[in-house]
Amino acid sequence: MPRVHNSLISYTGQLTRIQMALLHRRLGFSLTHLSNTVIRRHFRSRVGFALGPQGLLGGSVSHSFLSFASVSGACQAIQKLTRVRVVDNSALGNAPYHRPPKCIHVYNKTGVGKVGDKILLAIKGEKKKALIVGHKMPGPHMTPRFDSNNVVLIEDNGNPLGTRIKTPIPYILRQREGEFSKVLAIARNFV
Amino acid sequence: PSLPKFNIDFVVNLLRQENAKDICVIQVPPEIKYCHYFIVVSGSSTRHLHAMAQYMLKMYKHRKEESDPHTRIEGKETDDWLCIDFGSIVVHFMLPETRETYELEKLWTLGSYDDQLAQMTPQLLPEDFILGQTSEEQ
Repeated sequence: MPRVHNSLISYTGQLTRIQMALLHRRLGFSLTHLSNTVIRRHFRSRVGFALGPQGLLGGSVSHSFLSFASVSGACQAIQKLTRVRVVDNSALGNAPYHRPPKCIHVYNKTGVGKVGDKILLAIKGEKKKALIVGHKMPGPHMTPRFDSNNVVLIEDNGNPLGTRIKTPIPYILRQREGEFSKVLAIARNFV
Repeated sequence: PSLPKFNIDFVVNLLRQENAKDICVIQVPPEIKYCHYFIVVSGSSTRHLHAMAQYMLKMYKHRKEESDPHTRIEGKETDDWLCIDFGSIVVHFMLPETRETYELEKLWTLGSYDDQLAQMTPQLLPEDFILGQTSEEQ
């Protein structure tokens, strides 16, 4: 960090004290921003380690991590074009593909999906409905916040595509209006 | 939320009256704070499942005075899997084929030792996995 600072100072030549202070602040900010990004990427890699969905097989490991790891922070829960993580053991969800599954529509009055909302996903070139079971955005008090946007694939009639869910599922799904008993029935852990 | 009148014996008797096949009642341990009893039932056809679910709901409404507001039949659009959540009891009505695919009894009795769960994640952590924050930036 000092090295970069010096080189920039030499490039810009003569600077008043105020300008130098500003530059230093901007530099410092950009560097911490960068470090935040990298930390976030590694953090996500750490937590999403059971990344069954993207097919962790030998050579394709780094590729799948890079394709999954986003470098933007948590925004408004799940909306159009968010990349999600499919957590059940369906064939469609776990098959490796060069693009991560993305949300293309949220079945909600607002375009933002929270836990228990249905969304439309684009997976492997197909459209599939899915149910949100956890998102990175902090929700109401005393509800769990997950480190990845988790989603369970669902048919149009409501039957889940997969048969088991390994990741924890929040209990709030039970209080919400909607058909969640099936997803709760194939879940293993609750949170 | 214990129901004095609408309890597990009543539900099982009702299912036997309805000629439901393979009534499977699993008592769920209290650590899993989902329900007390988990019931899986097979029916012979879609109409049978719908009829059983409707009858169950009707009897529930009849027997319950101080209620538990949210009780509805989920899966009405499907033709092979319906379920009703009565708070402390959850009943699933499925066709035999659907039952084979999902194997809910295995999941809820075996827990972590379920075979579908074991087949699900054979992948382990990859070698280049970095655990924890790296201090390269500093």
